Amino acid sequence: MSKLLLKKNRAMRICFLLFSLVFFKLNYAQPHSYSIASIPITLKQNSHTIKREENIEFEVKEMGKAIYKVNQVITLLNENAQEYLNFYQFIDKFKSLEEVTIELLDANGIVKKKYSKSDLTKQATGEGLVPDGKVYFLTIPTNQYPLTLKIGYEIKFKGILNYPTYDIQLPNEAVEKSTFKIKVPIDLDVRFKPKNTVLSPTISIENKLKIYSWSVQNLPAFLYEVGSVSRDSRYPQILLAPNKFTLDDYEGDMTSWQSFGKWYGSLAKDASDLSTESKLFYQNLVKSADTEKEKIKLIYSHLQNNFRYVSIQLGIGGFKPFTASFVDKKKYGDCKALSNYMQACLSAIGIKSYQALINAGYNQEPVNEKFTINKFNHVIVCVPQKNDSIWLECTSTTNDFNRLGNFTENKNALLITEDGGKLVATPISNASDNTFTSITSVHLNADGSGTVIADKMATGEYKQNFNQYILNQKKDDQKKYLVSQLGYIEPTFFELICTKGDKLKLSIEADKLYDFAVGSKLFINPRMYKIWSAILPNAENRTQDFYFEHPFIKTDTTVYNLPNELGVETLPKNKTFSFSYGSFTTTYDYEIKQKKITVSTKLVLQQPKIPVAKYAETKQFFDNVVNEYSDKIVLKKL
Amino acid sequence: MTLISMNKFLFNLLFILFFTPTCFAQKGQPKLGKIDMEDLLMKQCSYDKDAIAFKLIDWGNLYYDRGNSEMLFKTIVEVRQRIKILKEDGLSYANVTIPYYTKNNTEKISKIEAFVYNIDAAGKIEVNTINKNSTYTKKINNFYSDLIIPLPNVKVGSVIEYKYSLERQTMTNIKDWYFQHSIPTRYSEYEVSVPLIFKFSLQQFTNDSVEIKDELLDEFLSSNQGVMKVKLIHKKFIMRNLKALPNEPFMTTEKDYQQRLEFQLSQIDYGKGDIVNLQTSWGDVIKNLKTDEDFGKQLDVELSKAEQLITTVKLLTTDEQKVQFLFTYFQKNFIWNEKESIYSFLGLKQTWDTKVGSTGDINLLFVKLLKEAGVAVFPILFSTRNNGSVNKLAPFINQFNTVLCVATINNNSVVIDATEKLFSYSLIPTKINNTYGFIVDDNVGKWILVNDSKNKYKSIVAHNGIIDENGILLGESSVYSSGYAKLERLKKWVTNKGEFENDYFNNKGSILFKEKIIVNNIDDASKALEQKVNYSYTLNNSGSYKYFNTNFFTDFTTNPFISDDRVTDIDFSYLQDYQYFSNFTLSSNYVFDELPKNITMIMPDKSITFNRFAELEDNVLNIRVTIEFKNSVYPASVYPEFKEFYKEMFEKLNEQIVIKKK
Repeated sequence: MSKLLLKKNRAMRICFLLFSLVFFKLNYAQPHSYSIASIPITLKQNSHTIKREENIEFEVKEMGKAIYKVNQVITLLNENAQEYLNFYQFIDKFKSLEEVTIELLDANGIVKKKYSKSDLTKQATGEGLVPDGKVYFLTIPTNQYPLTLKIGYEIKFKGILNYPTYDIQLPNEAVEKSTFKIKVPIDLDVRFKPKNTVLSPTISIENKLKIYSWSVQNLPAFLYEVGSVSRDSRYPQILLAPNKFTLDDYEGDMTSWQSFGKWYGSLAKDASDLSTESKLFYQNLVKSADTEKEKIKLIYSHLQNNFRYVSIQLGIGGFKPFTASFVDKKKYGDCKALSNYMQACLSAIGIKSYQALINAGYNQEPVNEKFTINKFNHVIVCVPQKNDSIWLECTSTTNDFNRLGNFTENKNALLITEDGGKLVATPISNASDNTFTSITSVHLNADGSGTVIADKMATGEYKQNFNQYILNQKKDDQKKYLVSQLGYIEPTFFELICTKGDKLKLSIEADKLYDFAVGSKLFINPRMYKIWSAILPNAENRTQDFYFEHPFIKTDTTVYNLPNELGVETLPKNKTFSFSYGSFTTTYDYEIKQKKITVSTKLVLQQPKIPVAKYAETKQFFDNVVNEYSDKIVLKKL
Repeated sequence: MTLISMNKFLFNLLFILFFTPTCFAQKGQPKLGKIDMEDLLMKQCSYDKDAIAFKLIDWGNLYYDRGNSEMLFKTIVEVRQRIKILKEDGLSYANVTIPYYTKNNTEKISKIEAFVYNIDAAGKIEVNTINKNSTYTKKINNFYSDLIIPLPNVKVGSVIEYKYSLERQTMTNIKDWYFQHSIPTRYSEYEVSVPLIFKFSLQQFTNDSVEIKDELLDEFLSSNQGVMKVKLIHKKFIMRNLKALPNEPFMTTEKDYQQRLEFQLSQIDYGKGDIVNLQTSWGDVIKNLKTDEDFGKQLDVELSKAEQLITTVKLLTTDEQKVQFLFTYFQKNFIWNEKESIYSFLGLKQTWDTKVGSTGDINLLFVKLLKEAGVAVFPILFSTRNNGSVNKLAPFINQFNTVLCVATINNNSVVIDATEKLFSYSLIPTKINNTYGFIVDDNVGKWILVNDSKNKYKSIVAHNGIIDENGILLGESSVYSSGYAKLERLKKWVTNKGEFENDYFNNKGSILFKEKIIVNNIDDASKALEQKVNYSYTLNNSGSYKYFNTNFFTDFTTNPFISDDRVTDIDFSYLQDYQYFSNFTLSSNYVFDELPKNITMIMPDKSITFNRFAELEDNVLNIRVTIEFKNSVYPASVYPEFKEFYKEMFEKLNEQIVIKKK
């Protein structure tokens, strides 16, 4: 038994990064030499892997029934391609993995090892506390590069909402030959949209089936670029979407946002079952509020204080929310359930609101108005108003009322209305919504020791940072945040008082407030912390737009009070520089009588998305900002 | 090496679970479903103000019950947890997740009860009782499931409570008990009732006081043979007001510090003199391993097509050559599946065929083949850093989690890990360096201290640069990493080159234009890993001064030791040696303003020395910094001095060199 327990202790719980689907395939029909020697040299440049041959076929049998067959031969040139040795397929109640064959070939194309489905391990997966997905996986044990994998597998769909995407090419991957085919009954047909490519299909008709086929050959590899749009929108691909679909006997139509929204709405149609008692509770809660906005705010705040986010992804592949009565009782729910509940509460006080589906993530593109496809991963609530709608993020206990944040701003949300879906833009991220303001007073002693008192105020994303890294954190972790993240000198003593998460008062005592001393001179930083420290990726050969997490305005005023024993030898020059989407200024002022140096700084970024054409100047601008911190105030002993 | 003993516990008792009569005083803990207002009003743990949650009651009760058709008894562990939620981050405790082992129905969970306590709007205590259909079972894989109870109505200030019975199809294994966790615990109690036919050894890892209560009971116990009259020993272990265990940089593992009880069956007395002695000495451990299907028996299996390899090895002249040849063969052909085990669960046949396995599979195979080639070699058992230190006084096999090989070469014992992919076997793996290993030899076993004194974590950085008339530094730097430094960097280089550059060649806070990093000597085990890079850098300036810092591409860019206090020892596991050379030539239109001072700093106990020597020859500045760590472990008790030393050292390393125009 003790041995059994040992086994148990060592058994690993494997966590998977949820990469979007990387499909592998293979072809048995054609004889081909898969030796490394036969790869054209042009395809080896920048490559970690080469798709030698790929044949993918997606056949829709009838509405809600389909088979996806992949055959792939892929060469792994070196250990940088190691992740391709992990074969994995996610399945759920609508998807089953049929046969799998994987062959490992050596550099000469000789088969060394074969695997089948029985060699795969099956394990529960998903991000939630209670997910309903499973994953099959296999790590092919080898480190003898180069090598080639021949992979074949088949997935059967029973109920299908999302058609597979044809991912033509990934970074550091060259393609020798690849074909993707979709066969679909003529009356169902399929919609497609090329993304980051102009590839078009050949279309034919065979036995009442419409066949679309895309083919590519000899595509050299491109490089990975840091800070681009989300991975699912970044690379050449063909998006596919059904016209009509069915999932768990819920039939739907995806030909328009209106019809798709109608389907989604039908899933939750019985979910707003708030009890009379609870309705009364909410009516009572808001009865003294004058305006509609105040009422909504009261309810939002009640939910923030009493309900918590728990991810339980059950019910029609995670689409059907828990009912309002369930959430009322449990005081928890996921984004769907909490949004549904919010809607029910608002309805109880006579305010109309809509659930809004969204593809959340700061670097997600807004969904395309003209191509209806399910790319959503999150739900929020929209309360239409005469002028600007009110938007509510129901999973956050710290968001300000009617402030979405970069996770859901700059998107197209699909409002689920009684008339079906309606695509509406969410608010744009504004620099003035994300402000960080710091006012610091430094009292320096003759030996360079001293005290620092700082008042910091934050809104938007910076307030969220305060909440995450400072409020309620252990004192040691706060110290780490101050020193490692903000760049403060290691204090001998510090105190942080955080009120409500958007204001904090910091007091620091340190035996050395200067950066360095040479002889009798002290070199002092322009500020006690770094207003910006990130070094952006290189600009050479960039082809993709760059995404900052959010725009911002950062202002800092630092006043250095000098003791009688010290005087100013050199003040850095005032600096101003700007680029297309932002600016930086810093000014130095010395009042000799008061022995007071005032340094005022402002850094502004107007928008989060930088078009690639403007990236080089953006990089230069932020390099200059980073370098500015190496300006020093030089003090001398009098 | 003075600090190899890694037992952190004041008492490290080992005794058989026996009877010492004491009185059971029943008192104190509130019943399930009942709570004091005081606990609901509590805002923080009085002795740990940072705690996100506070275990008010942590209770376990183990007893024997009627077994299934194959087993006389099974064991039941009743578990009860009452937790106060103190901060937002503590809400995760309300998503109760209980893992259990489901293979062959070995474990089962039943009798789940759960409660949530709050203060309602009227200021009264409100109790939510959770019904059974609010739980989920998540099947993780064929071995494990999680029981999930998302508790309702929980916010900061709530107290949550749950109780369940864990039924285990075993009568020979008693669940260990952990008094201490990552949050503080107010009251922890473990109760065990064991029929006297089973004799358990108990290891008690505690350094705060434990109340122990015993009684001997005559009871009727139901077994699969019917009801039996047995003598039961009933014991209670109670601890109070336990501190949380922090996770600190360079600590070995939580377990080395966690106050706990561990049990191991040592004897079964079936009566009438029929006594089965289990492991009670290290000799018994060896005896059992020898006949174990997954250990000793594996060393005797027949491998197909192994003769050729064995013959080739046999023909080599020296033992050293034999070991080297076989080790290289394993490096090229075998893949470690990243699992630690002392057993070969796959079996050596399959391991030989598939060339994949755990440490148990691969190292036992290595032992077998090397032995057949005529080299004196034995398996050697270890507990890795993550698994906690071993107690030589406690002859329990379950202390170990990995097996390596120990061969005798030229009368020296050499420890070999045949799963090591990147490095020569001359380096003791970090995971077991500085620990005791137990050699499974042909006698009663033998302990050796495995301590790599030859290899250190060694790093040399040489900067060579010219500062031109415009204040631009054009430089080339070479970094030489050897010993454990090479091992660490090689692992990073092989798996993630982007991260390698980011971790080791990122000059934080300054814009440096680097060319591509060239890495040499990857495969040559006898040479240091050479990393070369060229760069240019525009010197910063203020007024007439320009300045630069020489602390780049070194091992000391951010100080990990800024916490005010430290609970656990700092265990680097290896000795460290750093040498940084800078050689900067200045354009003739500048002069150095003032040179860095020559400095020597020594820890009060002389365990770390820092030296800086700078000299100017014409217009060339030479700086030499050496840092030597003479211990691999720094106990928590020296942390104040250690922290101060680090602070000073980082200040010195980060001092800038200032130049000005002539």
